[in-house]
Amino acid sequence: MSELPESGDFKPIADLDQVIHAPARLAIMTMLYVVQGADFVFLQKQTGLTRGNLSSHLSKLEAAGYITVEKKFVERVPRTLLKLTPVGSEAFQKYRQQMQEALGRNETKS
Amino acid sequence: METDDLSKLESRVYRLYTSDGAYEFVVGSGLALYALVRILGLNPLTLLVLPVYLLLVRMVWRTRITYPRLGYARFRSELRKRERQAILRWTLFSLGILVIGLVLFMSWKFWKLTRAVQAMNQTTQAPMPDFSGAKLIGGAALTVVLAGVGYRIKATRFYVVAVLTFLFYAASYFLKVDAIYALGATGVALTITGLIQARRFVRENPRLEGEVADERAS
Repeated sequence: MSELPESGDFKPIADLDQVIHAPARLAIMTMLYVVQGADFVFLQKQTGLTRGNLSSHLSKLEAAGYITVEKKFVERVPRTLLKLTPVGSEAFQKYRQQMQEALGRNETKS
Repeated sequence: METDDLSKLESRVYRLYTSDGAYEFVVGSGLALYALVRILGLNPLTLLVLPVYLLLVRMVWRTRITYPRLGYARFRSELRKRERQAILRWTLFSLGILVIGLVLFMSWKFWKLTRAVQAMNQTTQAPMPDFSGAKLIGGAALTVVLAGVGYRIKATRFYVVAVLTFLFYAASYFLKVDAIYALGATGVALTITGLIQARRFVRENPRLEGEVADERAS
């Protein structure tokens, strides 16, 4: 039977940013980190989320100040352009770092 | 972008936008129209319309076919630059092959010409060298360019067009037809490939009504 992790090993996981940690929001943040900006359709296609679900997650990320939502018309067609804010970008980097540290630490233990 | 995983994801997403057939259609129809203008002997100024036509087609293709299905994404300028530079490097490499090939070919032919002139001076009937073999070198260079683009964007359809291109140029050499017909045929082949790819793209990516829903949800 494998040895249980020592107390404190899960601390980095407990400290993870819960706004980003949800799988759907993590997918959105990753996609927005990879591209400079994207519209609603792009995120829907890439994350596979339903419209309502995506909209609700975007609202949470916007409320946290991680993304900006810019609505404009391109050739009379509405386009919602979503971008990661500098705060969001920093939070995402920090999240990744914490996750890598946590996973790396537990992998070396096993 | 600091890790390979995210770079790979970025490249994968970027490549999605090359799967709509727009590049093939635009480049193919451009080549075919250029060849048509040359074959019909129209005023070369007609070709000035070509860039406007190509840009318009690409813009309409993106707004009517690509964006409603894949959505709009703005890529980092470094990635776009990197992709463009890779294709440019490959094109220059192919042009280098073309220039070296032509120089070698011409040197050989001039050597044969000199020999023929010398032979004629000796009142013998030596055949004059044939310069049409340059078509094959031109075709080979275009084949390398197309294969390079296919390799870069990981699209096997470009390999098929590359092989066809070489066959068109070989046919123009053996049938003693002007090389412009081979270029035109390459253009038509690329255009057809673009249309087939667009059909596949439309089937695989149904249109999403994101914006309407987005407005409603928010």
